[in-house]
Amino acid sequence: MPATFDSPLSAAPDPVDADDEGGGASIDDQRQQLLSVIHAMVGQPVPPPQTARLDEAAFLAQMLSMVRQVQPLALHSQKLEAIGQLAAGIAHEINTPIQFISDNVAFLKQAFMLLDPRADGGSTVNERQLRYAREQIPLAFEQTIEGLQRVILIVSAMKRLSHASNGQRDSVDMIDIINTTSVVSRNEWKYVADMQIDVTPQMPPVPCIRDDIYSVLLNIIINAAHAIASQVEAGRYEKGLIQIRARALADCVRITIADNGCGIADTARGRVFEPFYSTKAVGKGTGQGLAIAHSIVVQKHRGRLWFDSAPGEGTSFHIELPLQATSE
Amino acid sequence: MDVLFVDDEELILKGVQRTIGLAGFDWNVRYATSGRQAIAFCEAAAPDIIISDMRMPGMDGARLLKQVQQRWPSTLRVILSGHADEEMTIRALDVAHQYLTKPCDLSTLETLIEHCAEDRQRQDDASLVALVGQFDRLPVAPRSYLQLQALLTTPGYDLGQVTALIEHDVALAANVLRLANSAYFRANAPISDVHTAVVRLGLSTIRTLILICDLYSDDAYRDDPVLARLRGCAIEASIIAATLMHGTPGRDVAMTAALLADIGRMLMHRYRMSTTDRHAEVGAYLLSTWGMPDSLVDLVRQHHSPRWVDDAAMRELITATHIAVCVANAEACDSGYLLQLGNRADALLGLARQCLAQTTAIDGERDRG
Repeated sequence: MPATFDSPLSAAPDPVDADDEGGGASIDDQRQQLLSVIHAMVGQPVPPPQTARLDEAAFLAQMLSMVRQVQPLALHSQKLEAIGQLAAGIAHEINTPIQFISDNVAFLKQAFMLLDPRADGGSTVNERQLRYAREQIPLAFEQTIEGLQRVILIVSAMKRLSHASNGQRDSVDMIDIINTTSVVSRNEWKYVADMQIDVTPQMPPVPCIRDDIYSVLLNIIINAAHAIASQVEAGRYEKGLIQIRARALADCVRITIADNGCGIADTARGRVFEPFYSTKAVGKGTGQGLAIAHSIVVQKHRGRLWFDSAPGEGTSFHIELPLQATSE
Repeated sequence: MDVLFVDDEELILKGVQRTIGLAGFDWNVRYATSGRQAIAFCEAAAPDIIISDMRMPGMDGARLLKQVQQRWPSTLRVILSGHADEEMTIRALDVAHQYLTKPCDLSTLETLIEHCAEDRQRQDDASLVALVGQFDRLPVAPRSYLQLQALLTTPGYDLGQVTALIEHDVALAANVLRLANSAYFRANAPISDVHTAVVRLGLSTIRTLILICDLYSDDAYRDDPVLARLRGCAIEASIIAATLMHGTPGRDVAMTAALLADIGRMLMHRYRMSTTDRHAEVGAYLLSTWGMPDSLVDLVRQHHSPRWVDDAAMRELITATHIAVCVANAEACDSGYLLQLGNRADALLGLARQCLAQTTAIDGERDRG
């Protein structure tokens, strides 16, 4: 082929008769599918090509350029969506300690006024109140401090999460990554599941892009929570379990995220990492989470990502990241 | 007062317990850490008021309150949620009388509980309290639902049109006001008129509300002729009230009060209760449990047998609401009250009847055309 190979637009048009090889209808179908995939990525309807009958090459070129234009946008908006979803949960996680911190501080203020000999409240205070105040003050302080520690924990986890690595590879502490992910995602799973984290204390630092690994773990954890939620709704149990294990192997680190949720149906198994494939209700998932996770682990980090699953019993996702960085 | 707090976070319950314990209220307070435990407590003794978190493992707040509604309808149901989520607020409207957001201070809770205690004392008839507890919403008229839905999909519609449509359906107006007065949307002062409520909520929320209202589309009473007549009279009453209060700051409140005045009568019909002589009380009680502002509740309570009050602004509102509702329903006004109004009575009645004649004529023309 001449130099026009990677620029199909300038390739000499070679009109294809739609009736040829009896494939007219199916090509139209495929065009339609392509349009709807792009539609899903852009988030708004894509006008079909202007020309009534573009030849294949021109059509593909047009689509390709559109996909290239929207791809970074689509990835970005998918990321924003995940953060937005987390933000509501994080707000709730902070709100809970704030509620009892304010109650306790209000109590401490009242109690102080009752006990303060200088305050002119002596006439209204009674023996019961004094006893109650003395007994409860240490507890109020204790629980206020506990609440503040919880807020600090969440805020510092958010800080670490938002500390952007700008696509740069770094030597990363996996224990830290796992703990941070579990804190920021807590509101997504805590109503349906408990979480156990089991990490070998001595973990070698892993060369990887921090943001990317966060998003892989978050995606898998949120999927696990959804898989468990469907079992809870079905009345199988009241609370499921998410287990995160990390082990250092000879030349890599393996992280396993196991849930006892609904599992992956045999029919869906081959398509799990396919882009836009989703078994979740409309609005619950874009079908891109695991596809992106796959591309991050396998393509960007030269690692491995796979799963084993038993329908009705649960799923385990395994991530292996090499200890020696190899370029893409 | 028998109060039950429910939250899966034990430290929240301890914080509440501490502030209440020190203040030494005359309440009997219990604390449950799960929906299941709360149900067990209710089975032991039904509380006057239950204040529950929304999101909890196992049985969540909405499911808990649904059960409480069915089994202990006279208990006042309140959601206290840290999830400032619009969808959840609207979901809670199904089962909760009121919705508060965390963090929430003791004085808010105190007001709520004291308010509930006052309502309880006023409502001496326990069976009536139990009945009102079952009411959650009136079925929305299918016509206004469809009209509003159509309007919201028309490009270029404005808030004024939406408000006008909502003011044409008692049940819709009640729902909109209820939502606007939930803690999630309420800013400072409680909202007592539809117009302010629509502005506060915004159109996207109104749209969500409309979807929820549609859940009631299978209600057998949607097309009930008696309800339809009462709805028609309520709209006329609201137009008359607006005319009587034209150019005064109380106009919107009077309009809303006249529109909602007979909500008790409608509910008593809907739930097949025969005694309607206490409908004003029932309506006021219901609006109060929904957290509506006191001024609106008072107007509804008084609209049937008005009392002469010293406060001039409130008196104007009571007068307009009473006359508007009576004239719209073709019922006689309270003769004692008219005597106190003196020579203004005839003028107001005349204006009201003239207004009714005009709206009937316009409606007649529209129906013929």
